[in-house]
Amino acid sequence: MTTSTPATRPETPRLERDESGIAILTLEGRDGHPFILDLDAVSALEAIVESLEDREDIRGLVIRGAGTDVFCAGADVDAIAEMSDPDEIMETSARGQELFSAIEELPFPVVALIHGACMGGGLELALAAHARLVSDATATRLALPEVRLGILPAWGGTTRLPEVIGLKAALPYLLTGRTMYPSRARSLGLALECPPKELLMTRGRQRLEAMIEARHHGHHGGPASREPGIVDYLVDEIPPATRAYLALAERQVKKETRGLYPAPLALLDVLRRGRNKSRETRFRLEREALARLLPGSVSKHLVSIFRRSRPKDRGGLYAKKFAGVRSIRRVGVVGAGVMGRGIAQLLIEKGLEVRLVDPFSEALVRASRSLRSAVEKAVRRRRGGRVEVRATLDRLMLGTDYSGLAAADLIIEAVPEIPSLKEKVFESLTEVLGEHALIASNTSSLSVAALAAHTDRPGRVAGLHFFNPAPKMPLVEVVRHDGADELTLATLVQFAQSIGKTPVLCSDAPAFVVNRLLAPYLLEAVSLLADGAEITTVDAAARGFGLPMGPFALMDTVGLDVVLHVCRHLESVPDVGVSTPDLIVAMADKGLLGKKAGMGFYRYGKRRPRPHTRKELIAFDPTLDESHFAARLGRQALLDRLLTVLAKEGERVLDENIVESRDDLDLATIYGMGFPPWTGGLATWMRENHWESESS
Amino acid sequence: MKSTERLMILDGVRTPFGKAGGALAPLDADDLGRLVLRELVDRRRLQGDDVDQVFLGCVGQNAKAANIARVVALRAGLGDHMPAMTVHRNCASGMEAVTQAALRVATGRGHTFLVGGTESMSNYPLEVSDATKQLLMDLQRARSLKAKLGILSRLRPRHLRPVITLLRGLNDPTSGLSMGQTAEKIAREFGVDRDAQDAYALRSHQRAAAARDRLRDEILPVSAGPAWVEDDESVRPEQSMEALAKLRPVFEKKYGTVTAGNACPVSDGAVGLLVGSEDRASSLGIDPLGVLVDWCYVALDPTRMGLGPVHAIAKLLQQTGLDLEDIELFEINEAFAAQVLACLRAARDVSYCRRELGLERALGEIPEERLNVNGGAVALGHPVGATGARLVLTLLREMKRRGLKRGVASLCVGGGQGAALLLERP
Repeated sequence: MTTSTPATRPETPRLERDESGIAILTLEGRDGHPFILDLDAVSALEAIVESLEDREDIRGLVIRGAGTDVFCAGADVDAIAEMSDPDEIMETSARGQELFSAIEELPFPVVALIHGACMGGGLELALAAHARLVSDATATRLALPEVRLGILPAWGGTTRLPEVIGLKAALPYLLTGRTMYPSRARSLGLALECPPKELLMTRGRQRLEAMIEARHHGHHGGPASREPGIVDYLVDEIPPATRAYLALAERQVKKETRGLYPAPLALLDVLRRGRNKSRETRFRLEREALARLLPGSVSKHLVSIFRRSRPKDRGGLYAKKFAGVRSIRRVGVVGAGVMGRGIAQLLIEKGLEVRLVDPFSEALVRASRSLRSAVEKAVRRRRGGRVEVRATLDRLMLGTDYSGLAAADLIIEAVPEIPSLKEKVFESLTEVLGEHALIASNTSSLSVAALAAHTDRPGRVAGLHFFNPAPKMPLVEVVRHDGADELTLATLVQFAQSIGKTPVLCSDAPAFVVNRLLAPYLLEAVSLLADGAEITTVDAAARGFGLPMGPFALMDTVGLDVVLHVCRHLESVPDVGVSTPDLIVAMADKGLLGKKAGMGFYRYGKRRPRPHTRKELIAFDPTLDESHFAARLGRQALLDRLLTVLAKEGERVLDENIVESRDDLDLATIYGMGFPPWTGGLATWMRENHWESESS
Repeated sequence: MKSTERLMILDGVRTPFGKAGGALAPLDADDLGRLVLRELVDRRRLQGDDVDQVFLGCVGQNAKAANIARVVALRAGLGDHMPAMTVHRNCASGMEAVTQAALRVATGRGHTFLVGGTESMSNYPLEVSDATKQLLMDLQRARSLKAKLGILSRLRPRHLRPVITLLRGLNDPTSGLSMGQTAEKIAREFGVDRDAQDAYALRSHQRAAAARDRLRDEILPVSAGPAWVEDDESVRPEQSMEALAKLRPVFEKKYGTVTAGNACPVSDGAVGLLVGSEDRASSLGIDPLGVLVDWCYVALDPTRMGLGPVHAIAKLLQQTGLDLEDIELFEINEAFAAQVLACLRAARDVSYCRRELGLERALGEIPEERLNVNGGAVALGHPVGATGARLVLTLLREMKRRGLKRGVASLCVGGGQGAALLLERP
C-alpha cells in the first residue's frame, strides 16, 4: 500500500484556521465516502498534527466529521485483514498510538465534535481529544467493536476509554463492542453534552474557549464531566478491588465464550498487567496483544466473515445494482402464525407498510396483541417513546380477505406447510395482485417451483425463508426455482439486505440449506441417545463447540412437530437418506412438542429446564432399552459424531450446488444455525479439518 | 370553467359502528379514521400523489388530534405532502366532506379526494365546570400559602363533578333544548305517539338484523383491544315492542315519548369514501359506485331541527326539477324515530308544505319500502361526524344491489339545518 501526501488529496482530511485562531480539522472521506482511518488518512493526519505542533497562531483545535452521518468508520478492515507479520502489526499500532498521543499533547486544547457513527479507531481518536461533544441524533452511536473481529482496540483505546469513563463502565464496551448512545455517552462522562447536531459547532467552540481560559489558569486537559459512584471509585483506585473486578469479568467472559474467543481474555490481561503502569508500558501491552491476536485463526475467521458478509465483497446478485429493481414499500404477509407475525413485526420496524392477512380473525387479534407488546418492548429498548410505537404499529393493517393486498409490491406467504393450502393461497393471490407484484413463500420444505406453477407469474415467484424469531435471526434463504427471473431474485436479495438481513441464494432443493443440514444433525443426536448418551451431555458438547444451544434444546425450541414434519418431508427424498426415529414420532404423538408444550426433551417450568430421564425416554420408545453399552462416550466423541454428520451433509449441499459458493455455506450456517463464528463457518471448518468436498 | 364536472363516488368502506363505551372504545377517532383510509389506499393501490386532499368530518374533535383529518392522513400512510381539512357541519359533517370534494372537482381544483368522517363518542373528554376552572386559576395566581389555603377552602364536592362534553354537544346552545327535546317537540306537533315511535324503532332493528350480510359488504372488520369487530354493535335482532315499551322517556319525564329505545344510540365509527372526477375513475380503472348529481343544505328553526330533511329534500327536488316519485330509494338519518316520522308526516301535510316550504301542494309520500331499507341509525348507530358519509355509502351500495338509478341521502342537523344529496348510479 502506498502512502501519499495530503497535498495530493486536499479533501481528506481538511484543516482550516478561522480568524479567531481556532483550527478546524474536518474528517472528510474520499469522494464523499465515510472517513476511514486507512494508511493514507493516518499519514495525512500525521502531517497535519506535526504542522500544528509549533503554530503560534492557533489557540485551539476542533475535530469534526464531514457533516454526513458518519464521524469516522474506524480503521480499514481490508488492510487489517492483510496483516500477519507481528512486527508490521506492532508498527502500525504504534503509529496510531503516537499519532493520537501527539494530538493529546498539542500545546492547546482539543475538542472532538461527534455526529454520526464513531467506530473503533474513530472513537480512539476522539478519546485522544481533551473533551468531546456528541450530537443527540439517532444516527450517533459510538463503539469499539474490535473484539467482534477477534482483536482489541490498539490505538490507545484500552488505556483511554477506562481513563475517561472509568474501568467499570468501560469494560462492557471493550469486552463486547457494544454500542454507546449519546445519552449514555453524556451520563458516563465521555461527552460533555449532547446538543442537537446543528448546535454542535457553536457549543463546541464555547466549550473550547472555556478550556483555553482554564489553561491560562494552569488547568490542562478537559473539564471534569463525570462524578464516579462509590463502586466506580473502588474499581478504579483500590488495587485489590480492581483485581477482584477483573477476575470477576474474566470468569464471566469464560462462561460466555467457553474459552473459544481469545480477544476478550487478552484484553483483560492487558488491563490487568497495565494497571498503574506508564503509558508506554500499557501501549506496548496493547500492541503485543494485537500482534498475537490478529494472525490467530479466530481473528482471521471473524474478519473474513465480516468482509464476506458485505454486499460489495459478495458480488453477483448481492452486489449488483440491477437495472429495473423495483423498490418494495408495501408488503402483504399472508398467515398470522408465529412466522407471519414475526415477519410483520420485522417489516413494520424497518419502516415498510404491511398488511397481515389471515382468514381466522382470532389469529389476527392474537397477532395484533403480540405485535403491540413486541413493538413496545423493542421501541422502549432503544429509548423511543409512545409516538414511535404508534407510528410503527400504524404501518400494520389487518385483514381477513385478500382485497386489501391489491397495492402490495410483495407478498410473503407464511401459511401452514400444507401443499393444498399454499396452492390455494397462491391461486387466490393471483386474482388481486397488481401485475408487478412479487410472491414469495416462506415455506421451509415445499418446492417453490410447484407453488409458482399455481400463479400467473412463475417468474415473479421465489422462496423467502425466514428463521424463527424473524426479527432477530439474521439469515434469509432466497430460494430460486428454475423459472424465476433474475430481476425477481435481485429484488428479493436487495429487499432482504434493506431490512438488515443476510440473504443467501439457494436452489429449490428439499429443505434448502439450513434445515437440510439440521435434520440429519438433530437425528444423529437422537441416535446418540440410543447409543447411551445423556441429553445434557450431548447438549453440553455442542455448546462447548460454540453452538448457541445443543441439539435437544434446539428441537424443543423449534418444536418437535416441526422437526417431525421436516424429517418426514426429507424421508421422501431419496438422496438425503433421513429416517425418522421412533422416539420423535412417539414424543410428538404424546404432545411432548417442546417449549411451547412445556415439555419435550426437557421439562420447562419456573425453574431451570430439567431433562427427561432415560427411564422416561424408554417409556416413549422401548427400543432404547437394549442399548446402554455406549454410555461412556466422552464429550469429544459425541461432538465428533455430530460434526461428522454436519460435514457430510455440508458436502452434499456443496456437491448438489444448493448454494452458489463455499462462502455462502459459511454465511448460511453462521447466520442461520448459529454455527460458531470462530470456525469461519461450516465450509471453512470442513476445509480446515480436511473434510474436502469431492467436487473441489 | 368546468362547472359541469360531477363528482363520482368511486369506492367506500366503513368500520362497524360501535356502541359508545363498547367494543370500539379502545380506538380513538383518529385510529378509526386511519383504518378506513388505509383500507381504501390498499384496496385501490393508491399512491400519495393519486389523491389531492383529504376531507373528514368530525364533530367532537379532540385536542389530542387537532385537525384530525390531517392526523388521519398521516397515520394512514398518505405521506407528508397530503393536505387535509377537517369539516364540521354537526351531524352533516360526513356529507360536507363529500360536497367539499364535489365543489373542488366542479371548479377544477383537484381530481381525487379521500373523504368521510370519523367519530369516537366513547372518547369525548370530560371537562371541569366554569366554577372549578376559576378556582384553579385563582389557585395558580395566589402567591402565599395562606392565600392558597384560602382558595382551597372554597373547594366543594360540586367542583369535582365533571362536565360531560358529549351531553353538552347534544344540547342546542341557542335555544337551550337538548336534541331529544327538539324531537319531543316535533313529535307533539305532528302527533307522533310512543307506539308509532317504538314500532318504527323495532322495524329499524329488524331491517338492520336482516341486512347483516349485506352491510358486511361495506364494513371493514377491525381489531380493537381483545375483540375482532365485524358487525354494527347496537343492532338488536331480538328487539321487541314489549322491551321497548318498558323504557322510560329520557328527555321529558312526564309527558315524553322519546326513549333510549327509539332514539339512535351514541356511537363510534368511521367512514371513508374515495371520490373523484370522471376522468380519474377511468384512469384508476374503477367502476364508480355512483355520481353526486346535486345537493343542498338548508336551515330552519333550531328547536325543530328534526324536520331538516323535509326542507332539504324539498329544495333539492326544486333545484333538480324532480318529483318525490322519481326517487327510488331514500336514506334519511334516524336521529330519533319521532323525528323521521315527523318528517314523513310533514311531507304529506299540505298546510305545512305551503307554510314552511312555500310549495303549492304537499311534497308527497315517502313510502317505507323505499326508506332506510337496511335499517337506520336507531339500530346501526350514529357516530355524528361519520354518519353523513355512511348514508351515501349505504344508499349507493343498495341501489347497486337493486339495480336502481336514483336515490337521496338526507339528514337533520343539530342547530337547525337539513342536508340532502341526490345520487345516481352511473
